[in-house]
Amino acid sequence: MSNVFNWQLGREMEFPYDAAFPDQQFAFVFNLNRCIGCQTCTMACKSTWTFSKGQEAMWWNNVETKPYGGYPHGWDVKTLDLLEQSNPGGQTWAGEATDVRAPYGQFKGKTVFEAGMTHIGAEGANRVLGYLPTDEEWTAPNRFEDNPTGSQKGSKGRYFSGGEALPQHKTWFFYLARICNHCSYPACLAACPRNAIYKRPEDGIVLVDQERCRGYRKCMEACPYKKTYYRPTTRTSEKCIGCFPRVEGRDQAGGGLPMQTRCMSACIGQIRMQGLVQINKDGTWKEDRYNPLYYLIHVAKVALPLYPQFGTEPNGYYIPPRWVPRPYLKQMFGPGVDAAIERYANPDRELLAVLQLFGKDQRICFRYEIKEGTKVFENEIRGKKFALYNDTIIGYAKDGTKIIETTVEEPFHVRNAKHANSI
Amino acid sequence: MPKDEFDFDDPLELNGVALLTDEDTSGAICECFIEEFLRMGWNHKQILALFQNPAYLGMNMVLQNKGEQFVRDQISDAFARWGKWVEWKTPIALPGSARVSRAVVGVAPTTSANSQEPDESPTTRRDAASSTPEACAPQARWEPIHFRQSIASACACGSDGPCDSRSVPAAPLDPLGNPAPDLTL
Repeated sequence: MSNVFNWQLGREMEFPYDAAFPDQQFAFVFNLNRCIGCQTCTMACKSTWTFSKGQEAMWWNNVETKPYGGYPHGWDVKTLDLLEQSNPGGQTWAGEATDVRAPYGQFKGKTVFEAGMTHIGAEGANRVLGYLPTDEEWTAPNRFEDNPTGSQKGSKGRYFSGGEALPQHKTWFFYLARICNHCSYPACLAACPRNAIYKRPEDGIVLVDQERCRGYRKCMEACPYKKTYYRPTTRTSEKCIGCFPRVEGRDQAGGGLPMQTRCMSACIGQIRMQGLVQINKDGTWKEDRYNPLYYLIHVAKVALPLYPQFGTEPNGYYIPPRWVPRPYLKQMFGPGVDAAIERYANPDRELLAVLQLFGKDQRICFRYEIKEGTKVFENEIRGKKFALYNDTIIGYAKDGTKIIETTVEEPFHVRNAKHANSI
Repeated sequence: MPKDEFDFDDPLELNGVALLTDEDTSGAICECFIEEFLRMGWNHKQILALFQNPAYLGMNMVLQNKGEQFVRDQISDAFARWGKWVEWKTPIALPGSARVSRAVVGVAPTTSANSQEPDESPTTRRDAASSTPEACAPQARWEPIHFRQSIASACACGSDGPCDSRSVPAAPLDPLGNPAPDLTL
């Protein structure tokens, strides 16, 4: 085991390998306040990468209804439970948030790596604390959630009957969209006995070498997010590849510029933004003030990592849903929740502009610039003074090409009925 | 979603989930969704249509639990906070709310960013569309909202409730108030 620094935990932690960081890191932000669970992202991914034999139960991107659902069933609750059993009452946060090295304070509990060391099985101590979901848990995403299902056979030109009689939710819920977090300390990589999993130095995307993998499924057991999958037809594991040809700029649609993944680009609710961020030698984020991801995560601090206490330093960040009870959100996103929601519900001038960048272009935005506009109105929102400015935000691609230009008060266009369903 | 009874012998059957159900967050989810759509440029009538649509589960849940008057009040308040004036011309009579559905705080926008035309504000846009308000029958009483009914309620004539005007096409309308396309899937 090595000592590595995990900035999301604000401390050093145990990891089976020495720290090694990419030059740039694949990262993304999802705004859960806007997700309507339409599964367009899921199908964009499915139809691009996992449509072949043996991949039927493989959903690199999934959207689950929280708190009821999860894919595989109960993935987060089970891992949280294992950690609690390993360290009863000790999974807590303390200390003050400081700089980029401890923006959420310090985690005092055990990570999946640290808990694994004391979890002695038949083969000795585990590299990572985890569990292998059953086949049944993988086979039915969104089971018992809120998608309409039925035993009727579909036919052309006819909707399923009874779709309007969906069960009514009685309490709060929200949709959680998930892909592989391409963690800085991947548990799948740590657990692989074949060294078949590697993290690309150019963009931090985590991949499974299909030549080396022998399908031991240790990665599936170790990944706390359960984002590696076994393919019975090849007897190997597969996982989200971060649409790396697009990120490399090899998709023709991008004209040679790095593009966002298929799931990000397809999102109709414009809840997603993906990019590449600069990484320091110690694994912290290099200051890049006008990179939209750096701004959202380290300046505005409205986007938080998913279950940071697992210790893998995930690179997926979420703007938490405003209406969900805070204890649940704090368990899911850590102690930064209150500040994030406060900031998101009372956005300042820059945040309002940056939020407009979501979903505007398939190419990755590396830098933004704001041109000040006129004041639209002044008011008081939730006891705080608020002024809305119709600023213009401009986004630039890697080579400085202008790819986005929009205003805070966006024009609202409605496609006429004649062309409502045409492209 | 299976409609049959629970099978307690089914190892996959979900028999119970512990939730923090003591907290009623209807107001917060309502406010959040209104502001999200408001920021995207939707007007009050379009947002109300979303709440009436059972396909939008979170929003419809609030309407079912709290009633349409609650949602209208929240929409009015949110628009007022964001400097936009909303006036409902067809108030509905619902149990438990005697509040006049009209925002009384905030100021009218000094300029509209999308257009210099004052008609672009939510209220005036609706006013312009409802040139013949007498053709519309206000919703007389609270009824469970059916999917097709909710679509039809976003009538192009400008009514907030169902419309029986002969001047309006009988075809169902989408949540934006346009005639829904006849899909041949």
